[in-house]
Amino acid sequence: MRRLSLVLIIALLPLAPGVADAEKRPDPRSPEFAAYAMRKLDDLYRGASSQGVMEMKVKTKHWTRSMSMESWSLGTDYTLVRILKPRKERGTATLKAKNDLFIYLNKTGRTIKITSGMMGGSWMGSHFTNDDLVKHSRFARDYELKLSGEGEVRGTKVYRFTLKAKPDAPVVWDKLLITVRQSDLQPLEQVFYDEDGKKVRVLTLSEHKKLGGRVMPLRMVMRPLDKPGEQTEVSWKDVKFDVKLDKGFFTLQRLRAR
Amino acid sequence: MGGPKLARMAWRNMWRNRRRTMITLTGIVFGVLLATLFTGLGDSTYTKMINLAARLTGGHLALQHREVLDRGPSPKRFIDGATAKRKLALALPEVTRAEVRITGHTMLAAGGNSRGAAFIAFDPRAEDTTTLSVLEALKEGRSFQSSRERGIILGRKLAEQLGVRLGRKVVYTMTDKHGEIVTGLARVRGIIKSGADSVDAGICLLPIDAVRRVLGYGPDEATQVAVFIKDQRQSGRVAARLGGQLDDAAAVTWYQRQPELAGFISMKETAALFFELIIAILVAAGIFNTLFVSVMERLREFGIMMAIGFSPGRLFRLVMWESLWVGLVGIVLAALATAYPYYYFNVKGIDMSAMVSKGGAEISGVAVDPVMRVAIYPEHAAFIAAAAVVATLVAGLYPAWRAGRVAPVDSIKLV
Amino acid sequence: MRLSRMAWRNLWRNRRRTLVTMGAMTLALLAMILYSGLMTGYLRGSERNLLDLQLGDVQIHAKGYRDKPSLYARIEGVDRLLAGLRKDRFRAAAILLGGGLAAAGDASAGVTFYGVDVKDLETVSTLSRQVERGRWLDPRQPGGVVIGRKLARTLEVKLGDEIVVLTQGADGSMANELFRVRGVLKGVNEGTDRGGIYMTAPTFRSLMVFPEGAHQIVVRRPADLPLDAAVARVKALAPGLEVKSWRELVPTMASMLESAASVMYVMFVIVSIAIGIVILNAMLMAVFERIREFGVLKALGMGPGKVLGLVLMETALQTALAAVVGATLAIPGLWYLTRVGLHLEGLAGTTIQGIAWDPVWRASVSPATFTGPIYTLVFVVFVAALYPGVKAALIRPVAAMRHR
Repeated sequence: MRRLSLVLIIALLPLAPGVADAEKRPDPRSPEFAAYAMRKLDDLYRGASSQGVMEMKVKTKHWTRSMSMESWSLGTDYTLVRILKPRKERGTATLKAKNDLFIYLNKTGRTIKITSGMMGGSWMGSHFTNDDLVKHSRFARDYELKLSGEGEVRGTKVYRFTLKAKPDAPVVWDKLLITVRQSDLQPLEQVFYDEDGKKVRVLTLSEHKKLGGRVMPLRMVMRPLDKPGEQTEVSWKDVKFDVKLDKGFFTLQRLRAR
Repeated sequence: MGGPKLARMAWRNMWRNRRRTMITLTGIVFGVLLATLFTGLGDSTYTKMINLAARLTGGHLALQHREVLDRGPSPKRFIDGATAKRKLALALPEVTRAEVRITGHTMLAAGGNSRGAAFIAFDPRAEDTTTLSVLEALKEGRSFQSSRERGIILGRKLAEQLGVRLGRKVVYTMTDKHGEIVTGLARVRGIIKSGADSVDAGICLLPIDAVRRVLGYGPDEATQVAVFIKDQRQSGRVAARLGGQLDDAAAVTWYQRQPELAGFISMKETAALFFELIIAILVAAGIFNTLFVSVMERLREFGIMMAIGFSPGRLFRLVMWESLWVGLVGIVLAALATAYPYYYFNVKGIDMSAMVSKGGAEISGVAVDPVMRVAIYPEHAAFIAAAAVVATLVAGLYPAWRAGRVAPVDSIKLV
Repeated sequence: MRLSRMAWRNLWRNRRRTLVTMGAMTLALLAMILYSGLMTGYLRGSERNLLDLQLGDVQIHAKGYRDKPSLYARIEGVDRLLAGLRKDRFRAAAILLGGGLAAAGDASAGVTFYGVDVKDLETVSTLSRQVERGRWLDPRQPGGVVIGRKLARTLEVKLGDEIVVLTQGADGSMANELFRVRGVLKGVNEGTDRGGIYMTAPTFRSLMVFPEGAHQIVVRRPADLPLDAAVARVKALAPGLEVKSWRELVPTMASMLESAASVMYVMFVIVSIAIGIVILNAMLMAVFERIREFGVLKALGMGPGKVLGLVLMETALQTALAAVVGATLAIPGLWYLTRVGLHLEGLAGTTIQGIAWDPVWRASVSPATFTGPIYTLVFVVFVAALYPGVKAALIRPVAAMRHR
């Protein structure tokens, strides 16, 4: 479950049947279990190519907006997201190529490279930041993992993992609490904590469905806890995996194409 | 009668009318006293401001990439061989300190907040408050212990906006020398409370080697070498000399980097000059008047002297000698009279803080000390003394000439 | 014989002495008048620079806007508010404020948008004349913007170049627009220089999807209404909104100007003292030269009071003449200083506490420019004349007549 925020918006959460069966799942009480679970999730997107259409609904204190976007991705290194609706913004798109992020603006026809100063800004007007998209943290590399407990959420048995940021990891969060289904280790919730132990934001995942051999949550909601009533909701309407995509697809020209 | 005898005669003449001479001397003393205090006030105040500006930003002059002055700073515009350049600067006698730094802009993020800020990355073992004045405002926590530690020092308002305090982590994002976006992690080691918003809400400090690692700079690469000198008036000269020795970097003075500050000081100095000129003219006019009257009163005497053989030239020289004596005695008395006030204002200063608000005045981000002291540059003091003597001599020209023009017979007839 | 006639004749008996003394007074007065003009000009110029550019006398914001600026903290009923202010002899203009990103080529910067009604702004601000390169806004050219000096440098743009602007509209949409750089401002203040983009109000409204309301009303008071009274009146006209005077908005600048004024007055006093000493010198000379004369007068029966009166009268006449001549001579000097002024080298938009400075130092003339120095001269001369006058009055006739 690497970079849930990034990955779950843009790429999909395939659990390639082949990969899943190759390694035997260790006993939950054994110390290797947490690492196994995290590794599975980290490995999920490697090599996965996808294309799909999603709907993003952003609710803030002053307005509510719905957008329809088409997205293509290759692993976690390349992603292209283009706005389909509303008409006024149709054609605006963002391209992530490795560590660079570009945004193409439909109305003016100009492309802007997202600089370090813009990283804190919101992505496409949502509660996700540009930084969330580009972030380099690997859960396994940047956090200490621990299975902290078991429980039940709406009738489903779950495991709870606590990820504590390693002291030198360049991650803004101090702690992440990830809740996954016991059955297939699908993520249900991710809570982000700051160094004071305060919950800063919560990502909820639901409507898990099996598509093209992979199981993924079709609905994700990000709620910033310091802005009550605000949230960003992403729902996948149509998703296809293992489509023919390679690095050459993700170019600036493609970004600007209508 | 020869030279020295003429001088002695002039000396005696001067004291024959004590009252008049004393009045003239008073004028000279007053003028010199005022001029000295004023110039001293200016010298001290502006020098302090300039030195403070130097400690706040890149020194009296900075060695940096050639394009920075015109096109602005950027991580791509860096210099290498920083250590060698530093040694080069230190080799000059006027230079007291030279420090290698990396400066630029960064995006700070913590918890759910992010803020932009300017950063100064320095070597904590080499620099101190004399080269980096913001360190004086380090009110909480401590400075860095090593140049590669993962620490950051923030302005108080910046810390508040990010929602962090001592010990908390901050992720900083920058653009490296290739234009790539890079991040680093640092924990808050200290908090700066300067009272000036431009510092408290806009600046953070980082250890230089930590930043080098993040930006991908080599161990000898940096964005500037800040050079500090003893006498700020030498800035241009030192910069020219260093600039000539470097072919891959430029030496830029403080006034090139901060034209606003330079302009402000130049404006104030012009005003002071105008003011001092007025005083000089007035005092010279007074001296002239006195000397003139003195000559006119003694026309009969001069007539007699001419009658017994004094040449007009000698009379001219006599009066000029009188004028010179007055000037010299005036200077000496002025020096005595100025000694105590100068000493007082040099040590105690004039406390203007009642007139300035609590926020502390700022000019282009440089705070102005409300206590103004007087400290005159020796060259300026010498100039004032010389000017006083010259003024007295010039004031004496016409009266002396008049003395020489006396027609002996007519003047003796004067009652 | 009338004292005044005697005094007058005395003056002209020794023309040289009189002329020199009067010369000193005239020179002194001239200097003081010019200095006074420059001093007032400096202070007024500073205040004007400050207020005329952006600040105004009074500003109105929605409650809470200043603490937490937000596109949504707006002033409603702007037209009615402006009309009400104008009816009360105030000049007012509404400003729309927003933030975003501007980019040109590879460079980008965070910016602040100022949406203004060009005609209205003209009544409250001289900003339109602060364009260093290019021209000010024109409502017929809505795509042209005027940007801050340092912003132009950061984005590396020249006149006519285009910049793309990205921001979030009031409805949450990702607004983006292309603008052409129509003009670049001279130094105004740090914020505007670094990131200010001025555009016409309709352009702002369309960019930010912000059809109604404004964020700031800049108000200028009529010249005869003092600031505090103006604030009170504006508060009454804008209920429910936050009304602040410029002094409350930039208190450090206000006190800095005050301290600058104090320093100038101190300097004026010092100049006056210098003048006093010079005049004292001249008067003392005048009296001591005439010791025998006064001795004779006293021997003839003139009482000490009358002698003092004579001396003072002579002084008064000289002062009056000097005042007339000095004031007359000051006129061309002042004309030059008010029109052309002193050009201060090496300035290209000085920033003092973030506010721009006009590099030309002009004088500002009012009746006080003349009356102040004249009163000072009269006072100083009077004080300076007392000692010699009293000395003259107390002369012992016999000793005096035998003097030298």
